[in-house]
Amino acid sequence: MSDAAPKTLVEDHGSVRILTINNVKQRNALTMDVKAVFGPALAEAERDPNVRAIVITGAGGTFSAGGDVTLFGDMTPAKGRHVVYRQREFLHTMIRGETPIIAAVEGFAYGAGFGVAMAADHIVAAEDAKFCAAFNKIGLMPDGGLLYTLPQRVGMGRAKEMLMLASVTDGVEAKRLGMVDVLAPSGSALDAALAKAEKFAAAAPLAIGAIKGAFARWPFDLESVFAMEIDAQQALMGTADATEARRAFFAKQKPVFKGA
Amino acid sequence: MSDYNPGATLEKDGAIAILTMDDVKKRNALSQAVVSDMERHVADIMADDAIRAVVLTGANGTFCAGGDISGFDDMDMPLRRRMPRLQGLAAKIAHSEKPVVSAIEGGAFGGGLSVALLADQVISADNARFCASFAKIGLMPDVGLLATLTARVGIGRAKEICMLAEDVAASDALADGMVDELTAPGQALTRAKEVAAEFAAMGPLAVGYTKAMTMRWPMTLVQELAWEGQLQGVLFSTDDLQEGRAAFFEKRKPAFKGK
Repeated sequence: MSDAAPKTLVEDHGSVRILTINNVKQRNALTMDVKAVFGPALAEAERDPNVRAIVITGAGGTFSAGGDVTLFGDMTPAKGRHVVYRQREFLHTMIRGETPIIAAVEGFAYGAGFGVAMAADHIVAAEDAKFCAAFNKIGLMPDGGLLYTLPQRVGMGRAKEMLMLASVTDGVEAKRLGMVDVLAPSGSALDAALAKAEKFAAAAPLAIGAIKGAFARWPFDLESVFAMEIDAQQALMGTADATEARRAFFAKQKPVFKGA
Repeated sequence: MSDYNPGATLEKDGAIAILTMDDVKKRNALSQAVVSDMERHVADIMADDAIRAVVLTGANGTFCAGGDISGFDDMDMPLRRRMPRLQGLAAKIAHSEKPVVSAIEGGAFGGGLSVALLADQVISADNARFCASFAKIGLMPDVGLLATLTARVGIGRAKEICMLAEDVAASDALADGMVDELTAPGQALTRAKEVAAEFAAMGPLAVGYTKAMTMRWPMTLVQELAWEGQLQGVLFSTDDLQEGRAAFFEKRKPAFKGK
């Protein structure tokens, strides 16, 4: 693939948009070039009402090697802040958006690449995929939201071990720990992710958005949930989708949701 | 059915109260009749010092089908007023300092699953099914499920279960931690009463304070240490602690009084 190829490939399968990080020479490291294209592509997918689910994957058989270590040669605190800030923009879209995001992980999800995978709502991993919070190997602390996302999935004890020791977790172990949701044979993570994305795409999008929005406020106590659900449920009850769903329920048909 | 009488029943068996949702035509859905009775019975249970544990279950071989969909058309009681009522009932159960054990046969769907997970322990028949079915009708989970389910199964699995309205078999529910124990079909209530009896034999103040603390989740370590200091200080001054210590040294079972 030539250097002129876009750093993020965009492809639609029906109402599922696939965003493929495409920086194969650097194992899809999240260089400033990549972020400059990936961030807007993600924001556009999130804004597009015809996109009901987003799959994020990496080109060339690997997910992402993480941050761009070539930048670290003449790194300064101010430059470092800029690098991490650009990452925060798209992580914010991933976590606070309303479209369900499925990560399809083959090969390496290291460092910030691990962070991107864990920021997805649903994670499909190849059996031989490898996850590593490699930050500590170069004297950094985790970024990419891992301090928030990882303990939610694996618990605090495991998260501390993975983040402090930069230990490597393969797909099989990740599934056992609940770090990923679906295990796929090597080479078929994207297919499995697409199959799952179709299910998310067929579900009522406003309800999905409300659920995702609620989880973006995690952790919450029971009283906060009561407040969120009464506000959102009232709005959902009045939607055309809710009316369609009730019609379909009583007619024993599959509902067709429009996100309205 | 001539004797169709939807509602909820309360039975007291020693230190255990058994609260049963019962609406045979609606699979124990949370109709106004069921909710009204539950409100009344829950108030009774909470005010009764002799009751040390509660079993929450459903009649007619099922737990609860959830919100009363047919009642959604009845806008005499609009959602904005109806939901706080259900949430108020849920809060009374969840924040109750008496331990609650759910006994599930058949299935727990939508708001029925939410009610089941308000309990501290969930006992299920091994052929029961669970579904956060809200998204099937264009709604998001309510009655606290996003908090209670997520605390039990973690955020990844909770998103899958809630967003896809996935049908969850009892064996998967056990593996995920959504329920705590499986029984043979028809045995959930019997086993739940046994578990409730175990809770009822413990010191009610210690059980109640522990439950109250867990209901404050999420908490920081600093908060936890402050709260445990206050509550443990109270427990150190109780008769139950003296009884517990005496029973320990005398190698007998303690008889706690909640004092």
